[in-house]
Amino acid sequence: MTAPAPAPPPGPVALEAKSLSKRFPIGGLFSKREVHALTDVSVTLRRGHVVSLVGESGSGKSTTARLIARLMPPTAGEIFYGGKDVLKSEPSHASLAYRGDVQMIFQDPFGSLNGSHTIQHHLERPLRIHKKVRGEEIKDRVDELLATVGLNPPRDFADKYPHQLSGGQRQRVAFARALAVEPTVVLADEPISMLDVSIRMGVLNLMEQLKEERGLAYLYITHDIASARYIGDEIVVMYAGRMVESGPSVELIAEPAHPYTKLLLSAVPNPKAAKRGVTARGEIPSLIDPPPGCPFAARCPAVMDVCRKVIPGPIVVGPNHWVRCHLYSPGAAVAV
Amino acid sequence: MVDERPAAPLLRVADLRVEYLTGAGPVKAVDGVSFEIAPGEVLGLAGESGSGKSTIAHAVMRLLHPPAVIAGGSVEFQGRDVLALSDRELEEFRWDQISMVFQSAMNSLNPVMTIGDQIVDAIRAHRPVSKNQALERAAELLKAVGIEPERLRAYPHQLSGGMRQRAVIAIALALEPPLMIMDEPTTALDVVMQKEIMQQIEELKNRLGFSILFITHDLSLLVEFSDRIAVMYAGEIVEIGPAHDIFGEPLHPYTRGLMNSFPSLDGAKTRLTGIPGSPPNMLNPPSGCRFHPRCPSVLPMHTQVRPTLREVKPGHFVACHLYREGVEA
Repeated sequence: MTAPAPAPPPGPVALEAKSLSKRFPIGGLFSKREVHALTDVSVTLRRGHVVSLVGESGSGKSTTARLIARLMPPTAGEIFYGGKDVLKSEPSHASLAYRGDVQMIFQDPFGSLNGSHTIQHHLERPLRIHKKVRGEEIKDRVDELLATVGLNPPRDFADKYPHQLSGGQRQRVAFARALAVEPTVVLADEPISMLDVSIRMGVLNLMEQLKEERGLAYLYITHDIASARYIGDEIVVMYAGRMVESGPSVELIAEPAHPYTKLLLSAVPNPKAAKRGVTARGEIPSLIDPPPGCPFAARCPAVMDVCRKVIPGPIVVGPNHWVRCHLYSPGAAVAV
Repeated sequence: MVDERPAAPLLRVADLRVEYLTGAGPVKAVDGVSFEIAPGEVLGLAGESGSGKSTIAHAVMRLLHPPAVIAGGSVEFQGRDVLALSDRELEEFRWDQISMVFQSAMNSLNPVMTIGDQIVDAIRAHRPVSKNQALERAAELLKAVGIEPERLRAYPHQLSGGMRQRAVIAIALALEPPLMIMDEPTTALDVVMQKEIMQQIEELKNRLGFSILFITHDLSLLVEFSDRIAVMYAGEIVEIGPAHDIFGEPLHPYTRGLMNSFPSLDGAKTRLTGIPGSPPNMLNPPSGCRFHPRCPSVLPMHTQVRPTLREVKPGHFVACHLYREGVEA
């Protein structure tokens, strides 16, 4: 990542999620109420490319990752991997191959490792289950994995238990475990938000290095729009279970189109800028049986009548940059 | 009794030492910390987990319980020795003189009491007012933090996280204490809510004139809202000074590293390195300067001698061997 960085040519598509939706029924047996956790979300993950998914809590970021990892089935949508819709070709549960190829990193490095097992055990298990190496090669492979994620000397770390490691080291173990099965896609769900500030960059730089060395395709999920820009080639902004804007990361932050993206950016603490007020108030609307129209309409400073009735389709506002906002419909005056 | 001298600090913490007594030996969580807060001032306390910042807040409020013990130093509030207060005096002192908002405070509300009753309780525990007077005051307080007064009758579960955190701030303001301690008050909230709440606190502070000890790991937020900032590392203050000096020209290599850990939202993407290594194990902290194992400018003597705070620029102190008299980094 050296400045000025020309956009790398997009690598081959590794995984494509199309129009994913997830609804959870709530209330009693005969209740028809539903939580619309995710509506019509599509992402294309390419090798050597990072898509950052940004949004507040409840915006559907983690649900997107969980659906792609097939930890739960979507209500609607398709997931293309290796040329076929895996929801159709392996409908009841994901195949061992898919589970190996699509790995997930979780937010909490304290909860995702088992306290009663050594690091060696954590890395050995996926190697055995996925039959990547056998017998005496395992130890070498574990050492190699630990060295790859910067835990040197590897033997010192292999024999340790999770509680003997710092948060950053534990998150590196989580990456090593994901790499053990040689994935093509890594879904990283807030991998740095529980780490101390001074070690966050180290983990992000490790992600970057693995992307370049192994051509990994990343989905990076975060509420921190600055880190989304730092690691992401592309940013997708989510609000109330929907994608509201997407584009190349530097361009999207420099010229945000959606009023929600603008609000999010205005709220980021920035000592360099003069103090600005936030431009909208209120909170994310309830996701239970949401009304029609744009989910941001209730908070939007530029709301129009049409916003409460229909959600606009994606409108192109720049190269690979689109927004779902009526302000950008042909004929509408861009006022914000 | 109003002290007219402008220089008299509201809170004076001197050489504070707090230890956690563990089976493996004492952990010096706070090791000789001194600072002052002036009336109406916001002092920001930055540092990572385990640096001792929350322990300081608990010591000032006298909320420490074994195995944590105050091993030395003094805490003076408006000239009173806080460490010498009896249990009875503490009951009156807390909340009336210093109130506190915790990170998880929104979960500390009583789930079976309405918001109104909880504010009324706080008021009537300290002031001889009728229930109706207290309710009126509670409605005012909710309005001040941006909640409609009708929500007095709401139970905590009926409010969002942001509203609950506002309600806790309303309770903290109930007795108009001269000092409010806020320990990661918005860390559990989304940025938009964080911005709204911090703006509201600033408005209230300007109107009511209270001081704030503001604790967070988020340096950008701290710079935006503090007058002065103290940076903690491994139980010590390593740098303290005016917020914009520390932001504009951080002196300690640790502060510089922290500044280099936040990606920017503008300009070309540049690689940030953060700080190599991990925060120290406080059971066995490094010798000499505690930052030396992670410091890019370490020299052999730094591993032996512990640096002390020295004033490098007016009001800007740093504890680092690179800044001895006449020596610039």
